[in-house]
Amino acid sequence: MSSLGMQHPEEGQLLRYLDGELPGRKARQIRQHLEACGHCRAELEELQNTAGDCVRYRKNVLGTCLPPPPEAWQDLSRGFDRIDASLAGESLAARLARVVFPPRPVVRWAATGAIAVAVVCAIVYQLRETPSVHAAALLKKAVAVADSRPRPARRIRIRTASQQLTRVVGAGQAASDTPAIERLFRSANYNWDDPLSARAFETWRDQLPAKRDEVAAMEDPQSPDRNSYRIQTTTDASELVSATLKLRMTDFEPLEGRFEFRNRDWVEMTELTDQPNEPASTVAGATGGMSRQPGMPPDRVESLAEPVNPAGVAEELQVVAALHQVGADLGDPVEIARESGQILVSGTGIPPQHQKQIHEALDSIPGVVVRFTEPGGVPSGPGAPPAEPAVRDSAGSAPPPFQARLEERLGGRPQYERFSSQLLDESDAAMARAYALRRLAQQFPPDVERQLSMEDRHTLGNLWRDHLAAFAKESGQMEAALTPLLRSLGGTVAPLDVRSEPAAWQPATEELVGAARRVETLLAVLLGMAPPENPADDTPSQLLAALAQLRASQEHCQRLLSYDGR
Amino acid sequence: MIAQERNTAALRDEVGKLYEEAREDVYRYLLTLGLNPPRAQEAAQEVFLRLYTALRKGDKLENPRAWVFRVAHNLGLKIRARQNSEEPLAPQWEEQNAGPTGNPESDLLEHERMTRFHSAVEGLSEQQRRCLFLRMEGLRYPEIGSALGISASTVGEFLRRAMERLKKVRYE
Repeated sequence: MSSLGMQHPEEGQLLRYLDGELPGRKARQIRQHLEACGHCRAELEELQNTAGDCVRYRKNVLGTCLPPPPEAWQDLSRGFDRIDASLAGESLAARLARVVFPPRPVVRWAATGAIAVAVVCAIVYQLRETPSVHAAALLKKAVAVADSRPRPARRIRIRTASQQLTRVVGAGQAASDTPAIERLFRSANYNWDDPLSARAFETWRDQLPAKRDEVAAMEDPQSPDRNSYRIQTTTDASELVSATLKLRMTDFEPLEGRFEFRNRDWVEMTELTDQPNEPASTVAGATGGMSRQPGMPPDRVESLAEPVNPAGVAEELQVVAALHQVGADLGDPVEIARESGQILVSGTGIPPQHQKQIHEALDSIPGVVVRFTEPGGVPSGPGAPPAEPAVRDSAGSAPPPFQARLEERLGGRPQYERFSSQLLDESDAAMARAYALRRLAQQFPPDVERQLSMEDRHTLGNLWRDHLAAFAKESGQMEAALTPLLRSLGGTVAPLDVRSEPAAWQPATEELVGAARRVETLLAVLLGMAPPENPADDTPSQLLAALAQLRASQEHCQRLLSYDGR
Repeated sequence: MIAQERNTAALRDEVGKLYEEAREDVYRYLLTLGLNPPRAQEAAQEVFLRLYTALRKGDKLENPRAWVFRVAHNLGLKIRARQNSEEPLAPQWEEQNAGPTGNPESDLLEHERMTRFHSAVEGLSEQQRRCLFLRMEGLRYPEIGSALGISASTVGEFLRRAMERLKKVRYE
């Protein structure tokens, strides 16, 4: 549908459009959509007004009402002289290195990585040479490495004696969902905003007047990626009497933490990794973290990546049902795949809040790996699309063939805009359901469906029934709104083609999706978003026929559902 | 793009011009980060010296203004961490002289609206506010993302949420 420019822009796309941050093709689609959709034009106008408020706020509030600089601005010449002198005094080798290897923007990351590797190598060397390495030095290095790279939002699993939950840190999320745990940490003056971090540990440790440290290198022969340093600090001078942090050897990433409090409460944290390239993957629902009892030292790091059972069709269905519960099967770019006995659920560009919902829905299912990635950034600089006028001035251009007639019949331009906007909403909602139905049919073809238990087949039937009912509602509303109008435009209904009807719901679903797409295409022509298919321009009749075919396909699906007794 | 091989005088001239144009903006941005005025001014000057150093070392910068704000952001956070307390962002409304339109009634309305707008900005999350302020300074999403250590799409999401909240000010 998006290729036709009919779909309402996703959340945030109008703002990206306004900011000139969309690629050319997408910007064109949105512009095309704006020409036909009054709702989105109004939305865009509101955004423009708010952007105007921002400009005035910057100029009239930040620009004039904040304290002025207390001193006159310095002439930088002396500073330039100092820098020039300093550079002139650099070693010949350093200058040669810059000539031979001129710095490039991309090198920054390589350099950061090289620094991190160098730091890690130095620490490994130090550990081997001096086993009693100080925790302070290790933490300092870990903080330096953490500061040298971006820190996106990430999830940590938190376990206490009475509960287990997942928390997102580092994206400005409120932490009010864990008030009891938060109080514990705050009572110990331990940073709760990012508790599983070297900095939080170091800050807490540094404020202790008396403490005892233990540092150990933990090697995991099965999974060298999980080799780690374990730092344990104990004290009598804080509500937090013992804290343990494990840092991965390769990059100093905090893996796990354990915190024991004076009142005998304990909290364990495990970093959950979503990035596919990270060494550790997350198995939602698998037992993770340090599972020892308080007071019992762990002897080795437990693997987070052991699947409980090889996942099969039934588990996949469970995942589909869980995603359905949070509405993640209606157009989100979420993929489900079975790999190496696990079910891999991957998504790209999912908003953080929705990621959290998906995790909450899936984390309790054994053998499920959830991975989210961000889509590639929009290129900046000369290659970026320039901001274009939001709406083309259509004065002087001929309106699409049916638009004027529709406007006349509906009572004017505003009524037409409301009507087309509502139709597009219904069409979008119907197509989201149609694609969800097709996805079910493709994921569970007849031979796969036969492997399911009766109970699972019932679950599958319920999923299909839900989507089909929602589809029927949306398409029924479209048909009711369109039919009288199409007839008034001269449309006539031809008899339906006689076709053999599929006996299984999977091929019947394919037919339903095909019929829905046909309606979608013709609706685009009717609303002037796509050219007519032929010069005869019998779109009203074609659309009436397509609606009738769609209804027939949908009724056939419903009959199959009732025959099946599900 | 600033070429690597420019001579020192040309680089001084280039950085000097950007300093003239953008130092007040950088200073203001540092105030919004919570730095007190003397430290904000000192840091703003330091940022341009760092720009000069980077260019003298041959760094190629696609957008020096965006680079300046990225460095200002990171430097500002470090300085703020050393400050005993975070300076509140408190516009001195009472010191505002003539309004932007010259019409007392319109200016009063605008003043009230901007007061509400400021409250709404204060109510944004730290990340939303950072994205918004950097966007106000003309940075593109990838540049903001680079400054804050987040992806461009996350910047878009933060800005969307910020605009949603700020939109409501018009109807209050």
